Amino acid sequence: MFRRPNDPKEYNYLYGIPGAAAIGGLLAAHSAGVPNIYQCGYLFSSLCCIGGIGGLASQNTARVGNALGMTGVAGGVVTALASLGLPAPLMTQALGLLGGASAVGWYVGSRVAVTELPQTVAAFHALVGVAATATSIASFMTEPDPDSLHRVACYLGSGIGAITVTGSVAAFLKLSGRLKKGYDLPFKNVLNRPLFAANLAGLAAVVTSPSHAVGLAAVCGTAAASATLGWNITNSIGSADMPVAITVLNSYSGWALCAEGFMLNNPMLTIVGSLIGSSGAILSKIMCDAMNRRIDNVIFGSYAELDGEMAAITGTHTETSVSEVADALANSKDVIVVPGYGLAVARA
Amino acid sequence: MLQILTKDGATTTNLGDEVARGAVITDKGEMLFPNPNPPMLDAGKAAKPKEEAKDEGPVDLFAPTMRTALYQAMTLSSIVGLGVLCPTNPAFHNMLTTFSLAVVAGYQSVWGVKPALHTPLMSITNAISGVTAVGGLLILGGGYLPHTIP
Repeated sequence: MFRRPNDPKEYNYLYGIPGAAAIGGLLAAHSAGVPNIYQCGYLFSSLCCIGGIGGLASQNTARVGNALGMTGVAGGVVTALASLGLPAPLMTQALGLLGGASAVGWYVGSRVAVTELPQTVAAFHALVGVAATATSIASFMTEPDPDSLHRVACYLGSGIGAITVTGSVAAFLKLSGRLKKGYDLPFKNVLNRPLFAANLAGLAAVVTSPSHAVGLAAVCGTAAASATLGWNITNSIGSADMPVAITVLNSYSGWALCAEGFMLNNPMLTIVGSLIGSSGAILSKIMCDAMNRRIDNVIFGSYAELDGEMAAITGTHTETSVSEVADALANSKDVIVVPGYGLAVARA
Repeated sequence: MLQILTKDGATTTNLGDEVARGAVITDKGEMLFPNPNPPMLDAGKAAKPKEEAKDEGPVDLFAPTMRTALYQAMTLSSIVGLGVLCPTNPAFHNMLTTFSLAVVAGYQSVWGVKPALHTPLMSITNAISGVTAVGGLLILGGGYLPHTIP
């Protein structure tokens, strides 16, 4: 996408070697019947995901990081498949789902322009949220007598996941320009506190009540309440603040993943989830600092419809022409080129 | 230059023109030499007023140190509190250790990311959140098609 014609030839496929070696080794150990090899599979996958983010510390290592991230996800999925020892029909179902979803993801991903990246990221966050909510509710259903840790993790996974779903859908619709009018919920300015209180009450119910039915109702209830909350909060954020909203939702999807890790006792999900969670939180903080605003002001400060005096445009602007720019460039001593949105639009 | 200063073979003085005005010293017996509005040659070179170092007197470090200490005390004792609340489940403690160390690792590695690579960071965290598929796989049920819906 950003390749220049005189760039040296790259051999990025060689980064497939470590992935193939690690995954192949894992499968060999699996078929040889080595006990507890799966923890090591999860460990190398988690380390690859950490390395994937660490690789972005400089442009030189960014490609290595990208390859490590892919190895991490592939390793995690293969480890999970190997550790379960599924019967053939179920394995077919799993592989069919994985293959079909990968094909769809590849198709969507290959068609995305750079300028559409924010809304694509938002759309995929929504899917992570759906997965987290569904996994949490299903895990609660299938566990006949969940302990308190399992209950809390399911509750949090379901709630945080549901916020991510509707919030990301709202962000996607706004950023892609499909939501022209905005669908405000009734009482949108007073809705957040009661919903938040309902979520807290549900948490208390799920911890204290021994009944499975009450717990399940609470887990499903928090999904509904959080979904409303997610839509209401994100729909109230102005489109200009949407990048911050997306990084916050990114953070949420990470913490939902962490809750899944606690729920299913899977260290990789916890590690990757906390990576994503802290990454989203830090990016939100950086952006808010750059805008000289506080994060709570961005997330909860709903924008008002401007009218009358507030809407009056003040200040001056300077227009330039091609010849003036050429003149300025010819006469200047230093020129600083700041690549930005325009570069992405021009596909320069 | 000559085109600006002459018209039909005779000199003219168009005082509105920037170039002509700078070249004119006298016109019709009137001294016009220091151009009152010289062209802006050194725009942007205006000297910044120096910031004077402020003398704020001796600094009282008690309040900020106390605040940091109280935050640390709260964090550390809340970990012990979690252990008191969840005494029976060793899996929880293992996972809590993993979680805490992963948060520290994530925090450090994300701060290391260059600002120019923040958009790829969004994409890559989006990509690795694909491991949520593992969660789905772990509770997958049914045969060729799902049929274990309660």
